[in-house]
Amino acid sequence: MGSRVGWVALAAFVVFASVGLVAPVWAQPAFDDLVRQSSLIFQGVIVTPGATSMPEVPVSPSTIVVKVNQVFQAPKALTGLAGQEITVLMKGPAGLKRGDQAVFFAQGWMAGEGIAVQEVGRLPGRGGADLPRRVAAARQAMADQELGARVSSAQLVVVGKISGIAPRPPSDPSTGVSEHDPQWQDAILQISTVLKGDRALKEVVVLMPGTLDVAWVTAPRFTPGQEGVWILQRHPELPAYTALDPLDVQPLAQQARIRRLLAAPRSSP
Amino acid sequence: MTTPGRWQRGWWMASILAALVAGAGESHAAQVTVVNMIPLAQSGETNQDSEPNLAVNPANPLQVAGSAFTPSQGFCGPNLAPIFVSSDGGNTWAMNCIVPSDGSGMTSDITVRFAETSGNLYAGILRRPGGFRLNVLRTTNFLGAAAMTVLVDRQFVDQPYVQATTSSGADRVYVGDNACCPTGFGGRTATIDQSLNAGSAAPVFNAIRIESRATAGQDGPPVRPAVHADGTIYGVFYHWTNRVGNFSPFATITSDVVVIRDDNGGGGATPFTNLVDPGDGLAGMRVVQNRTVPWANTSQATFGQERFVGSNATIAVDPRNSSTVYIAWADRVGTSDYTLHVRRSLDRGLTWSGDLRTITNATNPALAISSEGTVGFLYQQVVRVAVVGNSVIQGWVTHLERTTDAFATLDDLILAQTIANAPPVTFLPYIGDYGHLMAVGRDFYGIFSANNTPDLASFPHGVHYQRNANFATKTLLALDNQTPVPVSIDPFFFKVIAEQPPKFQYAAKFICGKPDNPVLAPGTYFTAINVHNPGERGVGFRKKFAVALPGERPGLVSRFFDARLGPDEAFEIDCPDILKHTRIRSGFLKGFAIIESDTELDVVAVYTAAGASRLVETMEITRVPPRRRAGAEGSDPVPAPGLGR
Repeated sequence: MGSRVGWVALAAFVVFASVGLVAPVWAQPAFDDLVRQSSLIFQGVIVTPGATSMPEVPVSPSTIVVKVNQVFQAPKALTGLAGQEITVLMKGPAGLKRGDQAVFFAQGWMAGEGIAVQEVGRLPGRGGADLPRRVAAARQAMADQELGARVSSAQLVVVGKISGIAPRPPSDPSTGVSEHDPQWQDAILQISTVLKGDRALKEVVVLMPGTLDVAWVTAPRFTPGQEGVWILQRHPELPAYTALDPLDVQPLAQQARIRRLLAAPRSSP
Repeated sequence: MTTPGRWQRGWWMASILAALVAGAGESHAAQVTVVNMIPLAQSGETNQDSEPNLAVNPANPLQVAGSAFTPSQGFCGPNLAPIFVSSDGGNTWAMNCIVPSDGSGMTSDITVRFAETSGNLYAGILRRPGGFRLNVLRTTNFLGAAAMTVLVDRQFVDQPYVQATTSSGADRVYVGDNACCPTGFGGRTATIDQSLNAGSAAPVFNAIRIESRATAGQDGPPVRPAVHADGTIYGVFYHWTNRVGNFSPFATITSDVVVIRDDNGGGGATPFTNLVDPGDGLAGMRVVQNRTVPWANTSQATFGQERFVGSNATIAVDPRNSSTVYIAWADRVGTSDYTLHVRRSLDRGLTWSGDLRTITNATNPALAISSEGTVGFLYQQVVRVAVVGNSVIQGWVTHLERTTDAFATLDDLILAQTIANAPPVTFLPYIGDYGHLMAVGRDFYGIFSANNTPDLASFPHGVHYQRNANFATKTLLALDNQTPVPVSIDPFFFKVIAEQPPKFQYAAKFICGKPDNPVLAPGTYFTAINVHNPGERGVGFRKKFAVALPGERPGLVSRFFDARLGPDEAFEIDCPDILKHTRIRSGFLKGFAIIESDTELDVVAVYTAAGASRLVETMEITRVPPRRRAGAEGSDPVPAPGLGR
């Protein structure tokens, strides 16, 4: 991996130097890794080096104010970022001057009256005409890798339908009580196809949090009659499975993709 | 159909009536600031930002940090969650992505606190995924970009509530928590995780079990510490003695409320055992015993969509004297209520008052005591606002009560009065299992969560929104300042800054009506107190009335009433005004009208009396001289005025 990064950095340096653009002087991760580490990807022009656009962010040689020209990736809450001036905390030595243009790969740092981000990586200029396609491809690869990791760690992956949901008998109070208790409910999952695991299974119990507590707010909730692909983990203590990650319940349309992920050799993230 | 506007007016009247019934008046002598903490850049957010907490840097009160169940919404980097930060005393806020988390970009329970002098910010969180993974975190720069350092990472802990101080240059951190789920330690689960040098490179935290008695399996979720500069540490928790029900989701708990104390900062061989209950000789004073606490971990239709999980306890120690300590807790007095109680000890927790204050159907109590000894009591009470068809409209009213005489009298600031029926609950807690109040010097800082409809009628002391909002149409707006955004639950910061006493005081004698006993000559007496603002700017001031009774008896002293005069404007306070403000229906009234102002005014009293002819027989015009208040800048006392003749 390290040599790969080094080659990318070297190649980037050669390209940037040859066209007279300002390149980062540190070794950058591979493109897909840049996308993976970034919550924002945007192209912009440097407005003021050594400055900030937010009172909470102290000015330093590593902070620059950038006007965003084009957004390739941003959270929904930041819709409308194009045209705004934001603060970038650069990863390495500045080397940028007013008017320089670059594509920034960044993570959110502060959101106040304005935005401040931490740079993860950078491409010079506009990043190339195919940048949107490359970002989209990297995001798809990232999504496949995340779903693949869930599938890989699952004990059971099935196509099935919830036939009913019932409260589970109360847990033993001697185990302790908290407002964060899951208050499990038993969802009966009728299996039509086993994609991974014991192919003889026709029905399993999937535990679903019955509580509204914040600790379980992201856990999928099921409804009777719901069909889909279920990526299941065996509960460590109870004779049942769980599907607690938002990725663990997929629509039927994802069956082919999940089959493909199951067949593909696993690569390290 | 009842419109929101109509029932909001009804709401106002109900709130004002409630304040009057309670004998409470809104204080003039404080500057109140309320700020919706969601920043402009997050204008489109619709999260349920409940269960807030707040930290003010005692060494620099311009630095404030806040927390809530606020997700990063894809903004933060991988596995990071935000806290709220302010560098201008809470007037403006940003979200800073520095809390370790998971892919959800949020935490479960979270509390934050600055140490006394180091500037280090500490946090106690339940880290996701899972429900019971305690992390104690630290940052030396809460405005920086670096993720907080993990100091403690262990399982099976609930509701970490952090307090911190600095002693002899070392940060001391106390995290009250409940070592439940599964329980251990023989069911004695109330715990304080403490480090006496938390600012060091690799601080050691020790989990001190503070429960000395057998329990009904465990203690309750909240364990709240309080820290005094002299090294006294108090803690309060629910000691569960019985449980009926299966907890999933309903149960009834019988509980004692226990206060523990350590006189050496937790540094001795047997920490938190200095307060012994003479009733059983065990550490921890049982302030009350055998209280009923409802457990209902579902959204309650009659309780503003919130739940009951016995998570409401708070404690505060007087910074002037560590022997004085207040607690508040919640329990059930009747059959369906949820009642807050406030009590006080003056002897380091050994003996306790009865209830100084009880608030029915309220939650999220938080106590703090200022450097002047003023006690602040924050809580959120659910009230019935209106009935629309078959639906009962409820509201959450957020109060900050302040008292200097153990709640014999109090100032009740209503910080917010918001709809409780909307938005629909997303998860629990709806507004929180706790809020927070703290004192910094003479001032109070706090935080609460509430419905974020931009409606000035909901915020009697005003409010500042950073996120886009149209108060005329009562609509939230997205970052484009055009697209409507649904209402949600937001965290609100507030501070109540104690003001200096007004510089000028005027005491004008009044005599009104017909005497019914021979203290004055028979006749009808009139008083008209004329007030003129001689300045070129508008001036706000306040007035109150002290009734004088015959026989050397003092009478009622009204609360202060605010007044305002523009440049060169004047008005008159006459007998009907005085009778209205004192709410006395007597036919005869004497006393003083007291006017306080930071600006010198012209105050002239006109006294007339009519005899049997009902025509004026005497008239006296008197200029009332100002008295410069002690403590005011440039104090130059003037003898108290008589009638100025």
